[in-house]
Amino acid sequence: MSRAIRGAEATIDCKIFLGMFSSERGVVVELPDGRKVMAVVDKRYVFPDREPKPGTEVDGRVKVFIVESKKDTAIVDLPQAGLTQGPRLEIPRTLLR
Amino acid sequence: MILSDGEIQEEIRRKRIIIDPPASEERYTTSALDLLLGDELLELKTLEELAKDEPAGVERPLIVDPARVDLKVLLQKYAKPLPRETDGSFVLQPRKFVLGITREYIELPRRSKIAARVEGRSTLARLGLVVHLTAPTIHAGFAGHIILEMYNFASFPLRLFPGNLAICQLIFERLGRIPKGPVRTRYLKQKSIR
Repeated sequence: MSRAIRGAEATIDCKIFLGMFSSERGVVVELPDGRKVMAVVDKRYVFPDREPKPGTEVDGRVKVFIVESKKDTAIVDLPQAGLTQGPRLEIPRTLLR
Repeated sequence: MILSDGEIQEEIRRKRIIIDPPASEERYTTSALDLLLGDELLELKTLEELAKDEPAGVERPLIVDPARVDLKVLLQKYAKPLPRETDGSFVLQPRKFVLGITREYIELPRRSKIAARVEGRSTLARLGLVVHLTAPTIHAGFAGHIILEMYNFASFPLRLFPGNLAICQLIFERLGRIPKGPVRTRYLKQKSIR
């Protein structure tokens, strides 16, 4: 398990798709309870396994900022860009890399 | 409190405001920083173009419900690139709405306690060009290129050169405290983009 340190950065698994502009990427983070959280972030915050093509999504990772670290979970912020206000998520620490 | 040109430059030097690529000296005014038009403009598709993409059986006429639209669909379906002229410029026709983007990547780290507002420039405004529609706030914590909602109110087309035209200005304001962010009840219940 990663050591989650408040204020530090980490990455978590996500699906990645193209945004409207070439500098944007959409990300979908699936939480352990099955909920999916979408956000639009700058492409410099995503690390796709391969570049997504129009209409497709690929596996990858998105950078998150650790707000609070608990025993088993961490509260993290997704990068904040135009269509989001940095969705804040509570995720198992095991998801952090 | 609005930051002056010297304060903006100082905050950039301290990496409390990040602008990439960096702005040249002449892009500063006394209390704002001009940003350049980026390389992409997107126009919204016409009803006919949207209808062509819909599978058979979809309700006509097409009506978009912003509260229910899927983000992925929003990003990939409703807009298309505005073609560039042979000289590299965009021509924005009268009464035309497009989405633009700044050339610069902007980052306002939360710890900096700085937010910003994107505003138009007077010369462009007098020519009828609006660069944002009701969404000027760049929140503390923002990281990305700024999306511009542009409309040409003039009765004549406007030629816009990306990478050269100072399209908008950014006014920086200092927050009293570092933002706390969403409270626990909100993030636990959050289901979609706000």
